[in-house]
Amino acid sequence: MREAEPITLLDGNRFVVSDDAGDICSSYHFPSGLFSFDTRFLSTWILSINGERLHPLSVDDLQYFESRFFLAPGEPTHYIDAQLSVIRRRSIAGRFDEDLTVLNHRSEWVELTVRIDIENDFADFSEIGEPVVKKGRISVTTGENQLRISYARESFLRETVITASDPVTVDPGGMTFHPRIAPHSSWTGTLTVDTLMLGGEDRDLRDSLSSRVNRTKAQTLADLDDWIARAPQLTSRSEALNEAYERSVIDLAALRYRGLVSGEYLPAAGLPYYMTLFGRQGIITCLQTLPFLPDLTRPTLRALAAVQGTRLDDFREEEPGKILYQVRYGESSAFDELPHSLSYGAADTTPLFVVLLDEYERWTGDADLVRQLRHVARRALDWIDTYGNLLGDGYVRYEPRNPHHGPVNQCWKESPDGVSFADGRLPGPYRATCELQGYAYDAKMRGARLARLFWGEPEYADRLEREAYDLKQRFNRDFWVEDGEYYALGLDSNGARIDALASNMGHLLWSGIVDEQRAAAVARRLLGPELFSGWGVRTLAAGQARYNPVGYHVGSVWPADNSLIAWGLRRYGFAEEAGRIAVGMFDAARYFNGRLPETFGGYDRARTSFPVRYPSACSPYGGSAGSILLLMRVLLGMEPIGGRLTVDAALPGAVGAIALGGVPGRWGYADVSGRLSSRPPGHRPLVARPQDQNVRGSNPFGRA
Amino acid sequence: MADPTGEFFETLEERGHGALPGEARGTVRFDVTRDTGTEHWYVDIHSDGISVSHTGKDPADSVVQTDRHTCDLLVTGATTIVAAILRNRVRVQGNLLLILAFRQFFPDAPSARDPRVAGRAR
Repeated sequence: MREAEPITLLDGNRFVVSDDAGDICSSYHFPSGLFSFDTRFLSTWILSINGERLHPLSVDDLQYFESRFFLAPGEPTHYIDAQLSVIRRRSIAGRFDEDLTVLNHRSEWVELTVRIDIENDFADFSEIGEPVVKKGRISVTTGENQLRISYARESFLRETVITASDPVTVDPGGMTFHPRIAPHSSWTGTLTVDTLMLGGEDRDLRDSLSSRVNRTKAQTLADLDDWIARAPQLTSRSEALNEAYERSVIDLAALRYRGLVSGEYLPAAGLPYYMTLFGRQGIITCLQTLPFLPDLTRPTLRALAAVQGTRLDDFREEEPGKILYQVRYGESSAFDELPHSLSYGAADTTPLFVVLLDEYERWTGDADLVRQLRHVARRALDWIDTYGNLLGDGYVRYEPRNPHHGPVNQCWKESPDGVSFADGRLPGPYRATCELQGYAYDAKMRGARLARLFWGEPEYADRLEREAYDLKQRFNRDFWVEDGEYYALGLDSNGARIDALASNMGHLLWSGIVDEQRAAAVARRLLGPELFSGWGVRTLAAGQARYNPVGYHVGSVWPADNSLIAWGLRRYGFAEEAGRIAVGMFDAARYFNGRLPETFGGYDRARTSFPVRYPSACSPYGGSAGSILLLMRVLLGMEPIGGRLTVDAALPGAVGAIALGGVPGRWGYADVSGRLSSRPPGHRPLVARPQDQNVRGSNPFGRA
Repeated sequence: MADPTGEFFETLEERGHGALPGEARGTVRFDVTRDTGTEHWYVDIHSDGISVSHTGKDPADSVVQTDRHTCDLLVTGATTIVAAILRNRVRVQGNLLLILAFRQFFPDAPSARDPRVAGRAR
């Protein structure tokens, strides 16, 4: 088989991965096929003409949901018969549609056998990359111009229905057209593929949940146009930034999907492995995109609130008040083989939920939602001090309760080696990583603001602030590594510092838990040669025992991580340092055509001169697309303060002046421009004042 | 014969008193298929608590249709309503947010432990 970059189309959580001829051949290496709601609906989809496979001449990516493959018969090593060519146009907007156009370049009639081989294994997302062994039964039914592949396991029913527009011969392994084409003429046949999750009485179970909307291609295009029109308009001379911004806004549109609960758009985390709502990634993406695309946040908050934990369940790691880790819709979740019908194996999502709710109100002024979610937010705040406070020492800790399926590390660096001592030892159970304490601090501070302003609970607000103050004191005593001048990655259950030098402490700046007089040391370490690669901050510093430049959480560079670190640096006044990270990310994006992947290699920039791909990184990835937006916010110093948008731009020379037209928020829409900064590094304004333009108008989010 | 479903609904009012406050208000009708026919439970969630009866106002805001066996699993915490929906053992109509809010009345999973107990007993 040819080795080529897979071609991916997506529309929310439905996506198709094929080779560059448009063929799907099941492969263990990279998930290929048509997927929807965590289930594969096509595992084989191979086009041939007169028994011969086709060779790609070129691929035209029209939209994220639509592509055109130009093909000719024969393998690349063979003589290419230029007497015939094929245009294969595929769209997955609403459903999978494929137009096959065969062009006859001869001056005589031709009779052809045009065949698509079709199979499906109904693999669950968890079976991708492994041999698929199904517990249920697959059956194939042939009908007039239609092939139906069904899967039944007890009452669990999934079905792929392939329908041809033209008369076609259908057999259990595919469909065959027999077109007769006039000289210098063409023939087009159309195939559509429906992916069904059947409930009662042969209806799709999504029908009764108002979440199934089969949009047409035209609606999808109009929706994309609308999404782009609502995003602020960027004016910049930096081609790297322009390209990355455009790509990111479109990718964020592409990754939206309609969940089962409300039918509203939710952000899927990343293609191909995380095409669903993850609490952590969803919240981070919303935080990143709020100043630009606030429409993503409200449904995300509402969906996470609706599935907040209510009970104890070891298998799902559910606790009252806990916010979702992930939701999956496939067979393994349906039969409780995996806990992800709703699973809660994350210690950071619960405080981050409160952080997002507060940030959302600050931008949009949507006080109604803050009032509606009061009980949810209070239960989340309670969780921090009860179930989150596992050992009763006032720190948020985690310990997996599902030994088979719970992540060992229930923070963002969730791989088994993601949290280690400097010498490489792995800590024992009940780990308290540093950023969890920062999130808890921030949640209490922000929760206090919400309690005071919107919930009419001033005493509760006072209590939260006292607790936050106390946490900050203890944290700065217990986590600080004196001789290294940095915050430990965490504490083990005995209170020993997990002393690896890692990127996590950048999040502490964002949360505000760092003592003022220590911030400079933290910034110095983050931008020092061990952590900063020249493109961005590595997850783990070079020189630590487990450092590996292509280690997932132990050396590679994550754009989402970097955007939060830059936000934190700016919060503490380190505008120049934040700018260096932003420039590194924008530069890196150029090597990925504007689309930053989930993560890339942590090699020194001076050594490789280009960012090294991380094998199997998700792309597009919501948190990476979002990082471009958050970095722009950081450079412009945009903050919603007192109901107004304030701007305090600090732009690196490599980026130059940038302007944003129509930044949405409680002020209506504001135009923002930033000139080049002439300020010395480390300068911190005592008071943030609106410096540039600041427009007030009607609030597009309703009453404040 | 043990009847977890019947016991669950018969004691629900009592347990629902002072239930977790929230925004969800309305009536959920449970249609539970038994060998002898279909049994209906109307659960009205209002601001003071909940009321449970065999008859009620139709159409309900949400309808949950399931069989006796699956309902027994739900009311004993052995499975969850979302997983049961995905495997088509539970069919729902109407306001799904209300049904998700109803999750608070289902008990802990069998043998679930409070994670703090193990941690603090080390």
